[in-house]
Amino acid sequence: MGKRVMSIWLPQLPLERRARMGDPRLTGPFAMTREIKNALRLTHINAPAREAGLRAGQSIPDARAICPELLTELSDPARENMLLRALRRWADKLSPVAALDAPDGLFLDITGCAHLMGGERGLADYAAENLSDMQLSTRIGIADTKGAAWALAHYGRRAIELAEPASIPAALKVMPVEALRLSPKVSADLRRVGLKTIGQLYPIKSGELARRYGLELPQALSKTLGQTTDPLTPHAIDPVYAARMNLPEPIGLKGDLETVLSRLTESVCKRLSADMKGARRFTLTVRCVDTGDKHLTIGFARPCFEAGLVRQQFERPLDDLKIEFGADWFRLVAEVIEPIRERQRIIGGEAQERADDLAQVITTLGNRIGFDRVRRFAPGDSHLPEREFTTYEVADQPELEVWPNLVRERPIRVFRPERLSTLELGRPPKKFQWRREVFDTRSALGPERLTAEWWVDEQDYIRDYWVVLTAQGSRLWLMTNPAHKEPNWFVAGRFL
Amino acid sequence: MEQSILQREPVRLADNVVLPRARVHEVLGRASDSFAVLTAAQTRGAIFWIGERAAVGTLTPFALSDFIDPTRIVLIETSDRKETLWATEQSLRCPGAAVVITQLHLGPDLRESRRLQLAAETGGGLGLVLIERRAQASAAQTRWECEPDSRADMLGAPRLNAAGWSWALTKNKAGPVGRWRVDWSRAQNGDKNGQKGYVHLAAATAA
Repeated sequence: MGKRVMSIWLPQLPLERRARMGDPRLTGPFAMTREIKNALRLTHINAPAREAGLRAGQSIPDARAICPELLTELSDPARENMLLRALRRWADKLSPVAALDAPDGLFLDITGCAHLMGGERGLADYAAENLSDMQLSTRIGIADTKGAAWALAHYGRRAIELAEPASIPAALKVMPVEALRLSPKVSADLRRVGLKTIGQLYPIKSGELARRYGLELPQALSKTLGQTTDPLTPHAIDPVYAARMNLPEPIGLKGDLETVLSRLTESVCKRLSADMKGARRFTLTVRCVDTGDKHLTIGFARPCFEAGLVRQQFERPLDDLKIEFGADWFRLVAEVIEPIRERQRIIGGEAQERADDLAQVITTLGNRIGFDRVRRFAPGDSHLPEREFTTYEVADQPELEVWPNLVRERPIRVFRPERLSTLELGRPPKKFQWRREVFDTRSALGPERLTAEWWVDEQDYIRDYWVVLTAQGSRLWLMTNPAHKEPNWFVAGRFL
Repeated sequence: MEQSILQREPVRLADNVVLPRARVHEVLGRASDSFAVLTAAQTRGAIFWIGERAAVGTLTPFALSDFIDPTRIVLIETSDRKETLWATEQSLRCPGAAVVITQLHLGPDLRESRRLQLAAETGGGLGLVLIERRAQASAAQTRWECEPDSRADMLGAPRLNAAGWSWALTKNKAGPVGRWRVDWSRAQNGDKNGQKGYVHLAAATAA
C-alpha cells in the first residue's frame, strides 16, 4: 500500500491565537503585523478588515489611510510556535507520525490510520471539527506525497481536498506553479515565460527545467509527483516532566502544602526515574488566590530524581513563602533534564558514598547562598597574576583538570593592589605602612617585570613585582608601575 | 559508629604534634594560612574553604598547589558571618569533607563553637577556624597562634621557595601546650621522591 500524507494548514493561526485569548479588539477591523522589508506590514487580517478593503502585505500607514479605525498587534512567533507544537501533540491522536510544518502547518503520515475514523474523508472531517472547536480555521489536503498534500491544502478549492491514490498529476494539473513551494524568484521566472500551472510543466524534460531554472524546480516537481522519495520526519517533542494539582478550596497550612508537594514530587520523580533521567532544577509554581503566582526554584549539583531530596530542598523556600488567603493551584516542573548513569553499588564503596555526600552538601549550600558562590579553581591561560587562574561553579563541571607546575613560587593571597604609604623611600620602600601595620624591609628580590599580553596595547600596563622580606617575618609581594614618574607602590599579595 | 569516627586516626603534623579529627581547632595570627594549608596537606578528600568574599576571593591556587591539589578545594563565598557559620556547620556534617576551613573576623563564641563541634563529631572531618581579629571563649579543641618568621638566605635576600613560621599552641583540651618553629622549603624540580616539599618542625622554648 502506498503512503498517504495529510497536510493541515492553519491559515489564520496568529490571528486566531488572539481570538482564543479573548482579545476584544477582534470585533472591529484588526490585523497582525510583522516587520517585512523595513516596514511593519499586515500579515493576517480579520473579516471586518477585509471588508474595509485591506489586504495582507500592506504597510501600516497605507492600511490606516484606507481604514483609520484599524487596530494592530505585532505577531509573536515564539508563542505561535508554542501553539503549533501543542497542536502537534494533539495530532498524535490522528496519527503516530506527525511533523511540524512551520510556521503554520502540520504534516501527518496517515498511512493505515484512516480506517479508524471511517476513511480518509472521515479522518479529515474529524480533524477539521476538532480544530474548529479550538477556534482554528483549517484547510486540509490529503495525497500520496507531502508536496501534493501541501499544494491541495494551500491551493485547493475546498477546505478539505483529497487526491485519490496515484492521481496526483491529474489533481495538480490546474494548480498554479507556486503550489510547488518554489522560491519566489523561480516561480516569478516561470510566470514570465507563461508557465502558470503545474500541468504545463509535465511535458517539459526535467533536464531542460534544471538548465534554465536550477535544480530546485525539477526536484520539487519529482518529489511532489512521488517520483523521488520525500520522507516525513516526525519530530520527537521533548517530554515534559511536570505535574499539576488543582484544589477545590485554597489551602495554606504547612502540612497541607507538604502533602501537595510530596504528591507532585512523587509523580514527577517516578517518570524521571522510569526514563533514566534526572533534573538539575525544579520549579514549583504556587498560585495564591489573592497575590498571584509565586515561583520557587531549587537547583542540584548533579541530576536528581529522588523525591525525598527534592522535598528536602524545597523545605526552606516553602517556609519562606507567604500565603495569606491560601493557594489552590500548584505545578512542579523538572528543568535541565540530563541522563543518569546507573552505578553499581559496590560493597565497601566509601569513595562513591563520599562523592554522593559531597554532591548533597554542595546542593544544600548552593540553594541557600547561590550556586555561583560555590566554586572551584581551574588554571587559566595568562601569565598575569590576576588572570593565572579562574574559578568555576562546582555544579557546572565535574571534570578535573591537570594542574600545571609553576617554577616560581606565587603568593598565597593576591589582592587587588592596595596602595601603601611610604615612610622611608627606597626601591622598594625601606619602611612602609600597610593595613595599619608598619613594615621594615629587610631585603628584597626583584623586579619581576610583567607586561600585558602582546595583543593588549597599553603602555601603563608594565608592572614590576618585588618579593620583600620584612623584619616582621612576613614576605610581601610589592608592585610598582615603572611608567609613572613619581614612585607609587602597592601591596599586591602575601606569600605563605 | 559514633565511636569509630571519634577514634579515627588523628592528623599528624609531626611525631609529637597531632590534631584530633572530628574536632574544631582555632588558628590566630598573620600566618594562619600556613597552618591551614600544611594541615590540609596531611589529609585526603575534599577541602571546604569558607569565608566572605574579601577572605576567600584572594586565595590563589598556585601557592596552594605546592601542598595540596587545588581541585580538592571547594570555595564557598558567603555574604555575612551568620551565613559563614551556617555553611561551616553544613559542611562539617558532611562525611565527605576531610577539612573544613572557615575564615572569621571574630572567633566563634561558646554556643557557636559548640554547635560546630557537634557538627564535626557527626561528619568526622577536621574543622579549622582561621580568626583574623580576636578569639572568644570557645569550645574549640585547640588554639594556635601562628606568626610569619621567614629568614633571609645566606646572601641576605628573601628566599623564594622557602618560608618559616612560628606556631604556638596556646590552648589544648587534651595535652600539653607548646611552641614550634616551622621551616618549609619548596620541592625543586627533580625531587627524587616526588614529594611536595619539605617541612621541618622544631620545638622552640616551651610557652
